Formats: sequence, C-alpha cells, structure tokens
Amino acid sequence: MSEEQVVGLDRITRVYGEKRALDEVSLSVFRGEILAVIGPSGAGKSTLMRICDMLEEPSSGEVTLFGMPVMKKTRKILRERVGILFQKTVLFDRSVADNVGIGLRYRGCSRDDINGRVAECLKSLGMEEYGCRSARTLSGGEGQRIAFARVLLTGPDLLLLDEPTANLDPLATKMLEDMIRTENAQHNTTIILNTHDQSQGMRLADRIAVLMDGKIVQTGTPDEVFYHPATVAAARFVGFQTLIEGSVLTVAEGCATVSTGAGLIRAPAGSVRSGDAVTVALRSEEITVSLSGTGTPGSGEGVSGTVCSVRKLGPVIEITADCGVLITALVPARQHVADVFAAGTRVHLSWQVSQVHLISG
Amino acid sequence: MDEIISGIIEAFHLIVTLDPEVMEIAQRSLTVSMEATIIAALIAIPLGAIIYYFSFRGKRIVIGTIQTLYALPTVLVGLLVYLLVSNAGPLGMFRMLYTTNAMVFAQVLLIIPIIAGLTIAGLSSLDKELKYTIQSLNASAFQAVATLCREAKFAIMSGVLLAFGRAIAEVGAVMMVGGNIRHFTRTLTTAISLNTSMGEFATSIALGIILLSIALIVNFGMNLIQTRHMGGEKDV
Repeated sequence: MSEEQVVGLDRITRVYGEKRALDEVSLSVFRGEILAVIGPSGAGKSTLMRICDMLEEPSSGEVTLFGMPVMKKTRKILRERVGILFQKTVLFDRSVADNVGIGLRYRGCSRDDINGRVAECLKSLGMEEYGCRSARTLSGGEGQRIAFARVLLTGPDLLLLDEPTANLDPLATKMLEDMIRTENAQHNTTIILNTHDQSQGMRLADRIAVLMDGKIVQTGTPDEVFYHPATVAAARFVGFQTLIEGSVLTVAEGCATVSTGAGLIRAPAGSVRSGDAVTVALRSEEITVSLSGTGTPGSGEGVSGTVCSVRKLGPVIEITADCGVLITALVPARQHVADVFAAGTRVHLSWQVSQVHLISG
Repeated sequence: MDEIISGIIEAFHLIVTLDPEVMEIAQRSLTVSMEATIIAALIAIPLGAIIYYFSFRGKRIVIGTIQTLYALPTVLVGLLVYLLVSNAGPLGMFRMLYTTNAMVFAQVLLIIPIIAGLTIAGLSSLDKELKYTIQSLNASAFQAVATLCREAKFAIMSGVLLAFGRAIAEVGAVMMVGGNIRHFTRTLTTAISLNTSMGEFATSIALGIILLSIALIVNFGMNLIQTRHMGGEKDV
C-alpha cells in the first residue's frame, strides 16, 4: 500500500427526492489498499459505489480517481481502470466464455486474443470445461466467480465490490474472498468492499469506514473500528450489545470511573474528563458470567444481577441480566449451561477494565 | 340461425378447397402486415432502446406519449396517410394511394408506438445492475444498446408479435388508403367488412376463421416466447 491516492471523495452529497443518501462524505483510498465500507442496509453504501464507478453523479461535491477529476470527458478514460461487481450476480444470456470475455470485446480486442485470455482465465479458476455452457446454468457461487473473472480480465486498477458475497453460501464466499485477496496481493489492486458482514471486513480490510445514514462516522483499522467505535450507533452496528449511559466521576492515572445505572464502572479514560457524559460500551463476548456466590473470576471488575433472558444462538448462548441496566453476555453453549443460567438466576458479570470502551456524548 | 350454420359449413368448404380468392386475400393480408411489422420493428426497436438508454429532459413525457399512442385510432392514421399520399399531398408524387404500399405505410405508423413502447418496457424490466455492468465495462452507447436489446429479446419479440396482431386485425386505415380494391388491395378485414355488408356471410365467416387462426398462432407464439423467457429466468 502506498500513499498514492486512487479515490478521493470531497464532500459528496447525493439526494434522491427528499432523502439524502450521502451527506457530505469525504474519503480517500490509497493504492493497494483494501477499504471495507460497512453499515446497515440503506446507509448509502451502494450509492457510494455507483458514484465511485461514475454510474451516478453526486448532487454536490467532487470525485477524483487516480488524481483526475471525474468529468464527462475523463469518464471514458477512467472507466478503463475501474471494475465493479454487484451483490446480484449479473450474467448475460450467452455462454460462460462470452460472459468472461465481453469486457475485452467492448474494448475492441481481437477474437483470438479474447479466446486465449478467456481460456487462461477459466483454467485459473478451475472452470475450463464451463466455457461453452450457458451462463444461466451456473450456480450462484459459480456465477459470481465468473462475473468477478469478467471484471478482473479487464485489468482494473480499482475494484469496487458491492456486497459481492451477500447471496453466497460460506464455501462460495470463501472462494470469492480468496480471489479478492489474490488479486490485491498479485496486482496491488485498490479495492473498496461494501459489506454488512463485519467479520468479512475484519478478514479482508486494511481499513474500515463506517457509513451510517449517509455519513461516514468513523474510519480506522479493523481493530480501531471494532473495539473503539466512535459513536453509539457505530458501536451497536459492530456488535456492542451493552451500551450504558453514565457520567465520568473521576479520571486518575488514565482510568475513568463512570457512574451508571449498574453502579460504578472503570474504563480506560482516553480523552474523557470528569463530568463528561459518556456511554460505556461492552462487547458481549468479553463478559464472563458466573453464578453469584461462586467467586468472581479473574478481573475483579463487574456487577451482579438477575438473568432475565437466555437465548441459544448455536455455538453460544446469549444471557441478558438485569443489573440495574440490562447487560448482555455470550457464553459458550456447553452442555446444560442454559439450565445453569436459567431466567431468575442470580449471576455475577465480570470483565477486564481494558475491555471497556467509553464513547463521549 | 340456419344462415349462420350454412355459412360456417360453406366457409370450411372454401378453406378446405383452398378457394383462390380467399387464399389471395389471406396472402395479401399476411404480406402487408408482415412487411409493416418488419419495417416498424427496424425503426421502433432502436428508437425504444435509445429512449430507454439515454437520459434527457422530457423523457417521461415522450414515454407517456408513446404509450398513449398504443390506442391510436386507426381511422386517424388512415386520414393522415391519405392526406400524405394523395395526389395533393407531400408524398403524392409516389402515387401510393390505393396501393398496398400505402397500406403498409399506415400500418407502420400504427404499430411503431406499440413496438417502441414495449421495447422500452422490456428493457426497463431488466435488472438495473445489468445496465450498470455494461456501462462499467466501458461499452460504447451502441454496444450497450445492442447488448441490452439482446438481453431483452424475448420481451421485444413479444411486442413485435403483438404489433403484428394489431396490424393484421386493423380495418379502418387500410380501407381508407387501400380502397379495398378486388385482386389488388383487398385484405381479410376489408373483405369481411364488404362481404358482410353484401350479405355474403359464408365468405365473411371463412375469412374470419382465417383471421382468427392467425391471431391464435400469434398468441400461441407469444405464449411460447414468454414461457421460454420465464424458463430462462429460473435459477438453476
């Protein structure tokens, strides 16, 4: 990854009727970087993608690609260097080989050149015997790989991936993710990836931008975004289930003591000061649950409460306890654990001070 | 009632024996309407595709107008073509009045809105991602329009068949500009009209059965295309 800016968005706003799909979005993406844009449905992710691919014009603001401003006269040149893959698999009603080679055909390549490159591409995908088949006979995963291969064959310097694995099964998702990683590693291709799958963002991205209600609320490394979200909404989106409002009583030696409905909670102070209103954010998987009276494990930081709901979520069980406020923890679904922590049971919830995150405001 | 029954029996006799005059009229009807449909398709499909693909001010009004013209009164088209091709009209030098060319001309005008409108509807029913993908692959406008038309071919073909059905069943315009001249411009619809007014029910019924058969074949063709289209959409 270099500091060469590939995508520059400067105060981009896109309005549809009365809805502001994007609201003054500014963002830079650098050469060789994989940037994941995460956010809930309707946040404006796809609109952002279409604007980056010049398929839509912003209502206001400026887009630069590879250092050139996007204008009518630069669009054709810039498009040569950009490829996009959508969530919905787009295949043309023709053979697999024709689907893969159609971008080259649009670029005026010779038939022999196209045939050779398509055959090579299909071989690299292990799909050489698929060339003559109708694209409509492909499964969802195969189709999306072919659609991706079609984009890659045009040799883009910037890849825009709009939730490309949202409709795929885990195996097909893994295969496509491998293709994304390989393309980035081998060709230093800059990639912007829209996803609502946070773990996919963690797996693939160098940097993550959180888009909510048309605004970028945070950009940072995956660790920064997932463990130190900037807003309550972002925290909720990246999986913080316990968000407790409070006010900072004291700050001493980098540690803040916050008064909350669950009692006093200590946390790394960061930039908060005494008297600040804050939200205490705790990740459910970082909270340990034990029966009251059996001793507090490890950390010594925690609160007691009564279990009010237990939900089985496959390999884990979600336990919500009333501790003055509701606190949710995830525990491994060991045998009988749901019976041990049944509703009404008194429990102690504990965590490490370093795992508590404070959000100002 | 007896008249109708005997008319039907005689009609079948005319059809089975391939009565020369009935066959001549049927053949002329088919030729005129097929020519009109081919010419209209060559104009209306690119027109519809261009209207769909490009953004321009007043696009919605243009599409709304085309859709309104689906129900264009045939006699109005007849009047317009009559005024254009009559000796005093701007196309009078071609001496088209009371020829099959004038009939083709009238039918072309009548069905262009249908084919153009249904082309736009067919293209609009494609996924928007398809258009975006073609654009993002840097296709020229011509390549994009051609690819989109190919993707919407079944919907467009249905529109063409529907237009053919409208053309062959039309009577007002061809009567006005063709003149219903025996062995020259007489078609199924104008012949039915004339024979009925003269009390020649058997010939009218025979011609009516042929017209209905053509309509059924067209409808069957449309259903076949639509079924194939739906089959092609299925996930595999």
